[in-house]
Amino acid sequence: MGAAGPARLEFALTASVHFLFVLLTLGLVTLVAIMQTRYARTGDAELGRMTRFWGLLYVINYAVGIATGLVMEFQFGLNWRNLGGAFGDVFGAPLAMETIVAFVAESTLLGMWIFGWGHLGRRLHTALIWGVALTAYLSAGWVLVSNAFLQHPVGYAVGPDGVARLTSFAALLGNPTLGLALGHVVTAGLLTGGVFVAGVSAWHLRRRPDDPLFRRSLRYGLRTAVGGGLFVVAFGGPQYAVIDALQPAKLATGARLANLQADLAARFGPGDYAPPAWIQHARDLMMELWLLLFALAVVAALVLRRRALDRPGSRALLRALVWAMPLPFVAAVCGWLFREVGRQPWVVYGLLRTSDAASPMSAGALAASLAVFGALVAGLAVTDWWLLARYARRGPGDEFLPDPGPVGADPVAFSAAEA
Amino acid sequence: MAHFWYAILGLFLAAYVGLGGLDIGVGLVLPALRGDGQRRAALGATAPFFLGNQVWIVAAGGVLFAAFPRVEGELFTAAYPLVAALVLALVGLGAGVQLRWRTAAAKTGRGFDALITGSALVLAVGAGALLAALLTGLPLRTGGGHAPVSALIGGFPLAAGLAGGALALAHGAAYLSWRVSADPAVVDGASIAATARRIGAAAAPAAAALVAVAAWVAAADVRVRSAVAHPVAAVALAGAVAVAALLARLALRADRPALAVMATGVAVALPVVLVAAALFPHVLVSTADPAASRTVTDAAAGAPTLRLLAWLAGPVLPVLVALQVANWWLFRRRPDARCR
Repeated sequence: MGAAGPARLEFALTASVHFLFVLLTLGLVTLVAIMQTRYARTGDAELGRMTRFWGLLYVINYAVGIATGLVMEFQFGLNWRNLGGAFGDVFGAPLAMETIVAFVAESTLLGMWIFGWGHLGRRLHTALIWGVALTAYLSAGWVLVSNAFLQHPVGYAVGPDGVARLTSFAALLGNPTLGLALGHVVTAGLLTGGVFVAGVSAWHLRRRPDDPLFRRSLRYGLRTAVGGGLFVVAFGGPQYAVIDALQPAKLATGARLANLQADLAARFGPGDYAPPAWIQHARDLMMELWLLLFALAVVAALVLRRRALDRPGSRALLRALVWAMPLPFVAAVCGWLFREVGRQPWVVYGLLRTSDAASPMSAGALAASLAVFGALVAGLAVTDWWLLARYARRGPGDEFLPDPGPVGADPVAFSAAEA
Repeated sequence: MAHFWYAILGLFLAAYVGLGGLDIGVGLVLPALRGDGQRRAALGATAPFFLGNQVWIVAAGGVLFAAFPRVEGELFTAAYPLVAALVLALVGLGAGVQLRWRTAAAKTGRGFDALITGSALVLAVGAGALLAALLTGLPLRTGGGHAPVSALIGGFPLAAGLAGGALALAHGAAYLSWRVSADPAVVDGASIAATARRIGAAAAPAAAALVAVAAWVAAADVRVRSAVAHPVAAVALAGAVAVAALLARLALRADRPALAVMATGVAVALPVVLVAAALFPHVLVSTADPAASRTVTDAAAGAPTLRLLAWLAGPVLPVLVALQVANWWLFRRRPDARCR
């Protein structure tokens, strides 16, 4: 065992924190892209200010999130040498695709978008944010191709040297544990982004009930939360059948789990094949939180549509929306714990045990690594939330918005006129 | 196909030290600048390119993991403390720069400046030491088992680390003097450019001297002599690094900062080529067990994986380069400060 314990905890911590950033990124970028598209079409300055304000929060979250992603990427080599050695040929390929095809393009496009205000033509600048959104989704897709392989290995053959080689890329893409999970993650991102935008808007509306920018943002946020909430269940529910067929121990309890334990021990040799019982509670909590969030979003969307927001009932709803902001993140981490801890003791299901996958390091060395990197990612998460809270509270104000010019015109570069 | 991906890996790493090295170098110049305003202006000089510069190390990590899955695990576990420090510094630099941009208070700003400079120092010195460790060979064993930290300590890694620090400093200073002097709108621009020029003109010959010292120490090391398969190429490339650094000094003295950045860019990128060329056909050389050394071919992933990567990622590579070129072209003039 040795190094596997701290290595696992380190990965769980990094992955969970990284995913908090990812989730908000996926949701917010979509909302920002929609806002900017409408701004580009209509030239409505309020939509422009909304794009700037929510775009800034998006950029902060993205920029700090990259740092946690770096820790994730290099952890495979540092702590999980035997996983990369035996299965890197297969599940490394989609991870590389994530970095080369998606992340490099995403970051470069985002850099151009951030500094492109007032510098680039309106259409080109709007196209950039859609490029960022598209590559963000592509990123999520490639990462889940890798993860799906760990859940249910397909498309490989193990050679005489014990190294798995890729035999079918199509099989990786057709993995039954991929499609629904991708839909689930992406729509969970929309739900999170919607709840975030609605929550921040609600905070401002409790102070200034007539603020037109936040009334409009609230509508955007609530609609996105309701839409995302509907689809997140549509993609989540059907996964039970897949799990039951491929990883039955993940869902089993009681006598059924005892039977499965005996079956698996007969198949793979003696060992403990039952995932810890608490993952069922994590899954329950995820679903309960969804129900709460969805109900809140639907009620708020209906009630707050036209009503004056300074009435007591409305104010209570606004307060609930503010308090609801952390809930999607808790639900998402519960979902991941269920998916990842539920397949234990395997890192590659049925093929490689987590305890055999870690680097040949001493437990002490990895405990030190856990302490340092754990503190780092936790610090980054706290910093991110502190910064987001500060900028969210400040509200839109002095952001510079280029003169959009007459509607329908598409100046090549605003800067030419400015200079 | 393995060699194609080895070349791409080298290209990505060279792109990182060349472009990401600009941010690192500017971080190293920061302490020499006076006041919050000057340091802010210096960091602003990399602003539109920062995200685009940093992506190359992530891309290189991706290629390393997918195309050479057994190299990453062997190298990272054998050099664990050094690689962990590099990852921490990478995070520190990225987070430091991002947070610095969003801090108005001068005191917090100073704290982030220290984080940026410290991270840049670890990255520059650590990268030099890691390349030296590759040339020395690592105590890898076929059955696994982790290496003692002592393999990373010694005269050669130390000299190479210092050379790395001096090269990065020269690179950042040359860039700063070019980027800032091109823009009359920068507050204190002339003063920043003069400081940067002075630092660059001193750091470049120091880097050349340190490269010579590192080469001298390496030549005396038995492990390096047995690990290096192509000593002539190694010495020639080390000479080229020193010459490029000296050219950068001449260019700075002649007030040709653009030329100086190109020269320092060549000087920081060449060591990557040097290590690959000196060890070829090996990627990793073991000092403990010759059977644990790995060549490019046997370190690479299977042919189907490499083919798949070529089909999927190959067509995207020109697009990525085009995006970066577009980025540099668009912001060749400094963008409006209000954009941030």
